[in-house]
Amino acid sequence: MINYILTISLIFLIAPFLLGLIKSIKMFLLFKKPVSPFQPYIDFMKLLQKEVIYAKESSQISKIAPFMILSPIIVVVFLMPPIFKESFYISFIDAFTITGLLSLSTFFLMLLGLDSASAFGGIGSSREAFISALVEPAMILTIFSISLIGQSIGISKAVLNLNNHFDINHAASFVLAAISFFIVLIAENGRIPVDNPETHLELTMVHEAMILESSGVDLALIEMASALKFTIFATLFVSLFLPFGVNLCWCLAIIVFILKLILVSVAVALIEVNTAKLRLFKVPNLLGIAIIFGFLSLFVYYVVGE
Amino acid sequence: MFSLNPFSLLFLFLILLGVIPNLFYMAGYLSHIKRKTHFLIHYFTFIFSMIGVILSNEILPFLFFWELMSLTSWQLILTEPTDEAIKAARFYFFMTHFGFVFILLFFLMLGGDSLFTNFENLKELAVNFKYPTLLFLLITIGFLSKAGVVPLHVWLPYAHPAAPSPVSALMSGVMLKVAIYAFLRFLFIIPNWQIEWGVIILALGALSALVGVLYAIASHDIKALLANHSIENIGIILIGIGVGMIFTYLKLPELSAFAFIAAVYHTFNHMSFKSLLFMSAGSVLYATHTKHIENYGGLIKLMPITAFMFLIAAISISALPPTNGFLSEWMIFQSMLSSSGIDNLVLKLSFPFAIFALALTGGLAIACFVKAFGITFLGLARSENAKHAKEVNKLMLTGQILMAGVVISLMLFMPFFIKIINHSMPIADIYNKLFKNIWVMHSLNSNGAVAPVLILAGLIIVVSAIYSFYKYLNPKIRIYHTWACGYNTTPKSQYSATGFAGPIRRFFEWLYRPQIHTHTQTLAGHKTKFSSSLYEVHIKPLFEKSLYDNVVKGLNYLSYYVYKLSHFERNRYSSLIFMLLIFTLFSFRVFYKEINWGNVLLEIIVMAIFYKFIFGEKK
Repeated sequence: MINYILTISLIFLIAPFLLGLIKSIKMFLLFKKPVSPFQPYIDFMKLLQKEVIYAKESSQISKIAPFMILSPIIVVVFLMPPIFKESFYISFIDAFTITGLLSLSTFFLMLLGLDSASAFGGIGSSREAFISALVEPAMILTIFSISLIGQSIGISKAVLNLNNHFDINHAASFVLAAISFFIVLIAENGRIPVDNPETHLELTMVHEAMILESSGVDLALIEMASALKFTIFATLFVSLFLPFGVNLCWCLAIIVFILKLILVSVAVALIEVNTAKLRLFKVPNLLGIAIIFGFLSLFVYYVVGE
Repeated sequence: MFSLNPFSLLFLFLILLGVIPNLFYMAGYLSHIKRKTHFLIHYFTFIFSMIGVILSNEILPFLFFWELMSLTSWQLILTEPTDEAIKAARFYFFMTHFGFVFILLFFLMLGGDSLFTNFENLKELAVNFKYPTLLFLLITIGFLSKAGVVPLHVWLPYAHPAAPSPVSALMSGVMLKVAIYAFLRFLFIIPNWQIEWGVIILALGALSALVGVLYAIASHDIKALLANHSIENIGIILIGIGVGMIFTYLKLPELSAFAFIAAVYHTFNHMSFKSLLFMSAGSVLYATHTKHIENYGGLIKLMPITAFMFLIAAISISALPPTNGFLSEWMIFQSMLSSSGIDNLVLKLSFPFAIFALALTGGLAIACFVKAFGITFLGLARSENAKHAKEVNKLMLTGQILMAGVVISLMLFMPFFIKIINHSMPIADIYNKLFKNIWVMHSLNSNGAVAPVLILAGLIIVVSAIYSFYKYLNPKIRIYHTWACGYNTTPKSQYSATGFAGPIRRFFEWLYRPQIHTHTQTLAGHKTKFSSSLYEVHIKPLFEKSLYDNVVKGLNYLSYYVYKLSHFERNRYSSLIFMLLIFTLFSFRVFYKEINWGNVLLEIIVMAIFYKFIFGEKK
């Protein structure tokens, strides 16, 4: 049990660091003076002390939305797979529920965007609805495929199975699923090329547009939710698609886990620096690739056989 | 004549769950209706006839109540005889009788000598029937046209919204389920299911789910939006049934039982949340006197309880955990995941497409209900009507709250519902395998599990923890204008429903083929400065445009010739009869006695000569 609490608190603590790390790597690569990767912690503390401003036009939804955005994501954090072998994990909730909880969070985020009667919120919600509708099939197909390869739809069980015995026959379908999941990771977390998390420009913003009217503690909660969401996706990616290191002793396993998370962050930062943001109506092409790879992964699995 | 077998009782339970809250709601709504006696007579007969359909155990009572159900609902659509309602009612009348023909054919073929054959005997007769596929096709067309399955769904988005709201809730929530009941009941009568049948039902389900949700997003009439969503949910139910049929064919009784339970559980869930949505939308309609979603906005401040009820139902229908809508969709996903055990590779490869369709449907349903809730209840009022809306009366609220209770209890008491569904259907008993304890539902393989009550408890604990953290911080709260980067916030500057669905509409342009009307009044020749501007999109469903309009065109074409024929003099008529006689005699000889090309040619030549003789001398 103590292992479990350790894992969960590690995920909570490392979440803002990963986003800060991406930002500072990007700044470094663009020849700017990089901010500290620990800047998000400082921002978080700063936001907690600020006053909260609610719009006159908004309703109760603006007040409850930050809680409803954050809480499903926190519940998902408690369902994360174990970092090392003997660790406790929750086995009675499976991958579909995790995608469902993430959608629940997005649902309230979109309502928050529509609540304040500003055109920007509407822009954000409308775009987010469009993108997340197309992300859903890619994600479900990938989960199907990885659950077949890992022989369990429960994420934790699948991770342990993959670590103990990786069936080399299914390597092709595994790699295809990994590519598909990485695209889903980028799209769901609003990174370039799907969404630019750093600008407030009405042409490009999706996530930022929805939370434009939030302030103070509310904003802190929402920012925490998006940091945790990225960490959840990164954790899922490294546990499912880089299945090694879980069988080591606990201290080494944690170090390997953190290194893998940093690796994913670096990969995301490199993609962000090297690509331009796609126009909204080009985003389906990228998601289409994810969907096709999900399909291919399943097909390859079926054709290769058990 | 009637029987209380478990399967009928299960659906009787469903009808009662749907009807009792509706009675309260109807009582509140009644002041809105002008022809009260007409409405009440048909309303109660409608409910009575649905119960009759469920309980009847012989052919004639079944057909009688089925027809009574169609006719009363047809009259209920005509409660307020506007032009739109009359057109919808005519369409409904035609389509429901189109289906009835096939149901009648099914019984005439199978029923043997007596119309009072009961359904147990029907089962024995079906075993000896030569062409079971024909029976399957007849019940598919007959019952599923009533359930609104693509491509026989076109009447549904017209008929359901045209009725008064309590009736819409009954039609969408309960009547469609009666059609599903009848389909399942007679499906289990037919022996020797073929693999193709399951695939057909699965494909119809996937298609209905996608088409339903896509047209729901594009609808601007809130009740039409909900009606289109019924098509989607019927599609999801059919996916479950189709998967169950495939597994039954493959002799996997437990997996098929799981899929059938999923389908029937989704039937219950859809009854609950769709009724609630129609009730809440009906309350909005009651308060604002408009169905057009672009005229709403900001109603959550004026009608908080209705808004909250709509929110519960919207979360549930979007299949978000831990609601009941999520649970049944979870079961259907799990049963499709079990398809990996099938040996037939082609069949196995077809499953990912159904998974894709269901997942895309789920994603689009979320978008659709964010639109429906967000545009209706959030933001600023877009019209005077919405600005002066008032919360509806207590009876209507009671109806909604009771129905929300049904939605929530379907989630909380899931093991109980699964148990009665399992035990009242002719399928394998898997309850004990699903529920090792009542908190967690396991799937049959691949370690899938879901625990709605635990997720709900987890969410509540986390929310209260964050809330107490929030209270501990005790931030200063200021109420001020919406910032919106410094622009003014007016009702016109908000996003509209058309705008919200814009990206999706544009992406699926090949399906929608929208007709766009724009009108801009520019100021003094400036391209970018204008005093007024209008953007309207109209979408006519593709199926209606291509399938139905062409049928209508063909019939018109045919009737033109019939019309020409019917305006002859008397001798022409007699010669026509003579021609027909010769044609029949010849055909009999040619096709029944000696079929060869020479005789066919001879017949054509003789007919041509006679034609020349009789019709040749024109003017």
